Amino acid sequence: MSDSHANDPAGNRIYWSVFYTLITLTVITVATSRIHFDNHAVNVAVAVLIAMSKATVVALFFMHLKTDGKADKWLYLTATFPLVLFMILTILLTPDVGMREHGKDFEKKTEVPGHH
Amino acid sequence: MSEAAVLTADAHDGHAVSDVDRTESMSRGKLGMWLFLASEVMFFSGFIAAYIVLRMGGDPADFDSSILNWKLAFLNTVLLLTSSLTMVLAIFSIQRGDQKGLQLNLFFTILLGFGFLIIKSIEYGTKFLHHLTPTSSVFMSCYFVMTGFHGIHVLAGIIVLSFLLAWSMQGKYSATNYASIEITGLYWHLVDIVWIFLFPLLYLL
Repeated sequence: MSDSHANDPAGNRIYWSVFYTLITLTVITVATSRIHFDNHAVNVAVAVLIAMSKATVVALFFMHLKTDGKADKWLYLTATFPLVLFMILTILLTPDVGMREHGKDFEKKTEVPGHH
Repeated sequence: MSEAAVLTADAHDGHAVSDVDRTESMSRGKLGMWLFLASEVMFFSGFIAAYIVLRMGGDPADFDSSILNWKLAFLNTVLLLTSSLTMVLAIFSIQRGDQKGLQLNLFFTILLGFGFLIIKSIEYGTKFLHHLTPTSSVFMSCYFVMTGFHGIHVLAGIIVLSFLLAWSMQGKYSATNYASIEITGLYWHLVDIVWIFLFPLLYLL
């Protein structure tokens, strides 16, 4: 129930804890981004994972997902599936849209071996 | 659940409900906002996916984030995270009937949102001074479009929050009537979540 916290005088303590966690995670994100790992993908993975944790924490506690009814939790689950699917489908366009030889004509694409 | 219990005013989600169809689900207003948020997520994730495609396929040198001021953006992140805190504290206040707490926290949320926009303006200003515009490069195009749309969303949130603050000062809200505050809060948290992703993707990586 969304008004469960109203009965608990110290109920806003959770919000402050979440806030400090968010600030800490932000600082960690910045700190690790200054470290240049051999593989840039590590930087990307760390930053994205921390961002996803922060978003989850905001959604669970600030947006009260944790206290919502079971019926609603299925709603969010079903909504994230198309999101992930569409992002994957878009990123699959990388060879056709993203990759082109640096400095070459806009029309030209990198030669794909086996074609032509 | 007995018929009588269902028909009495229900303090779920901050507004009295009298219709019989009351399960454990959230109110229609809240559901409507969640559906809108889902569309907003699709909106921003489209840009983010496009940015990923362009960046993965392009020359890494074209996407050098060092031309961006990550320190200002870090400050902006702190401002928005704090505004999310004050937003949820505003809801917490009115759930306990605390009018002053509601008004104070709404005011701080608006103030922090304004701070975010001011810093954004400074960022954009310095970019333009260095002749960096949305058409300067693919990276600049991504940067301006993503942060620009995000900024418009922040501004829209500030406008709505201002109305809520004005109404709260007229005593419109109470412990059983605060649905608008909660629903606007959901929108504001999403704006914060979008920035949580934009900050590392554009400024740090």
